[in-house]
Amino acid sequence: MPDLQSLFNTVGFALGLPATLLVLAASAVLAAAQDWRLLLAMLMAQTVGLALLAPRVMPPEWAVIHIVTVGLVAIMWFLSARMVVRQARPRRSLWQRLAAMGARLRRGWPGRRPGPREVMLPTRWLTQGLRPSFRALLVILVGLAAYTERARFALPGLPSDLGALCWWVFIMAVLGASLSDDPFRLGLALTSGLSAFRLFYLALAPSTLAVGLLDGLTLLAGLACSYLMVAKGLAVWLSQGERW
Amino acid sequence: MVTPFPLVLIGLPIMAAALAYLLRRLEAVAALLAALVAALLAGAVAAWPPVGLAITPGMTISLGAPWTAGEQRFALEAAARPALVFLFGAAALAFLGAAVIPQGRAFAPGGLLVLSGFAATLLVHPLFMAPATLAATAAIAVFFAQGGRIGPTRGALRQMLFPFLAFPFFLLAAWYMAQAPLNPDDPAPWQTAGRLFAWGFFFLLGAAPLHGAMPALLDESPPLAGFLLILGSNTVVLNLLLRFPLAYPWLAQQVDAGTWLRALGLWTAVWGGAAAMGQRDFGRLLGYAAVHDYGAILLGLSLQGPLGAATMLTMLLARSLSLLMGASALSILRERMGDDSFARLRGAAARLPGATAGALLGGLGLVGWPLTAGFGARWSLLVLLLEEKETLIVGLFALSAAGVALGYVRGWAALLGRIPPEQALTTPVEREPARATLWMGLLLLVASLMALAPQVIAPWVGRALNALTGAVTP
Repeated sequence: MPDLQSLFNTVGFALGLPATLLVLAASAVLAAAQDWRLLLAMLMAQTVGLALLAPRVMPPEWAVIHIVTVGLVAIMWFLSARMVVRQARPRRSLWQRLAAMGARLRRGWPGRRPGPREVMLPTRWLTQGLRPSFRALLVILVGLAAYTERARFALPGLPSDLGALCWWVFIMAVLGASLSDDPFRLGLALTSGLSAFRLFYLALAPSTLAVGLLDGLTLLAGLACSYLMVAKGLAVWLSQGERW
Repeated sequence: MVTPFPLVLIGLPIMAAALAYLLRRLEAVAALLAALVAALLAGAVAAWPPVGLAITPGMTISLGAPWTAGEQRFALEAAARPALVFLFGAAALAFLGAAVIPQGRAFAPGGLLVLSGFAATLLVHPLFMAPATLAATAAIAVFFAQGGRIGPTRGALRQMLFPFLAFPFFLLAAWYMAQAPLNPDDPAPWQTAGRLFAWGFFFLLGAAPLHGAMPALLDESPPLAGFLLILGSNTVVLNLLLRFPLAYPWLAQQVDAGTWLRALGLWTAVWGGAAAMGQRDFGRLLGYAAVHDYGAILLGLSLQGPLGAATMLTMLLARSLSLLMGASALSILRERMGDDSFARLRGAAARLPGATAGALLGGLGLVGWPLTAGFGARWSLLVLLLEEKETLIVGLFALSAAGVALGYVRGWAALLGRIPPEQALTTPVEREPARATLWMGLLLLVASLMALAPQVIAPWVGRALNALTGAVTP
């Protein structure tokens, strides 16, 4: 059975370009998308992509630890979001859910317009802010600016492609954070930014203390944001008169 | 078994937090326990010598020994002592206030945990790890700031955000610092490290335009939790700002800290004054008054001499008293009226005299109004700035202070106004509890003493100054 290093060497070599593209796309989607389930999936995709590339500059075990850390954070956020949604929506039987799905399909799902009840669903607080189209435009503009200035984005201790990738993730995280003031989006931005910094810093100054510190802080920030997601989500629900 | 003192300073609040959590249903008892622990720790740091053994019931404490946890070292050095005494002392007062005016069940256990984090930040070695410790503390403080409330989360979120943005700069700067001796002729690593430290402090200081946590905390969190978080993070960051140039003397050649601090201080004070003028509730008004006062402290720090540092320390003491008074008053107003907006508080002064006096004098103390706690230090600051021929800064600063004062005059007018007839009939205002009036009276008395005889605190400021100019280990 191959050890983790040789496995990562093989997989990383084969998946280098796809992993890079995955991280690029996932970071852009994280800044632009609005659906919270898609955002969580993109966070994990970004983390896995970075972990596949990370063994070029650090032991693969450290990359796996980061996947586990961000995975735990994603689970916490999923549970928080689901708790809010379940508080917000009455429990329905399978038949009622199927009937609701049918009603959605009749309205033209997935490219549907939201029904009057869905417009104010409290899950909107998760991703409130600007419209996705405007966010996408900003991502494209910032991406173009970053591409024209790519020569400046060299980072010590990292190959140029990984350096540029770290910058991209970081810039998208800053963009995502600056466009919203809610715990979920800021948490996503913090986690993405910390992932990029982790890759850079551990390549620069590898130490187990730094691994523990950065992953510990990621976990703490995730836990704090998870709590705030519930606090804010339930507030939105209550402010709407517990109608759901 | 001999226990290192840093372990006691970090560990005892955590153990007390566990006990306070068990007692959380008895809010006043839990708050009194927290106040006792904080006061004991403040007394221990202030009274015990730097080295030797302290024998307490059940424990022998080694006062000079560091505590090593894994690869991390915690040691109590002279320059951290004043900040620790101040922090534990202010926390003791906040917990005492919470015993009088309830702040929620999470207050005592949460406050003790946050206190332990702040202590760890002041004790951690090497010094560049302190911002990362502060970031971890800020993440824990989210639960304390939110206090179990379902509602807006801006205050809790913003106070966490900036330490998280700051700490990577310090880690990178440390790496550049480690590279510099490899090529002693190349000044680039020192310059880069200096710039990174400066950016790190820019995020950590939370001055304008990154001041958002202060008004949001006082607007949304339990007021005394806001007080403890604002004062705690200010104390820790300002202490680090004073210790870094001592630990890394080359920083003085790379960064012109005085110029940056003066610009940041002025901008913060002006921003706070301008924003305070238009506020319509006491929470945000107190928040912006605190922003303005923070600008004044940074201006004091920019003077960069022993006089400047002494002025800054005196302002910090006055800030703690004024902010505590304002936050306590805010707690009473919210508890009795359910809201702190000017419109809702119309005519409340007659039923809530202690809260009215505290809200007004706390706010005006943050402006440095004559006969308030902040006046003496503020006057010294203006004189020192005028001696440096900074007339424009003094003028802008005075204008911004007038903005805050105007905000308070509007608030006062509302409190002293007539109760709207429909409100008088439907929701009569309940009188404030006698213990709350007593607490406010006590704070007003101490503030008056500080206003009339500021020389009383001069020996403490002198001791703190001596400690801060002592040797610091990088």
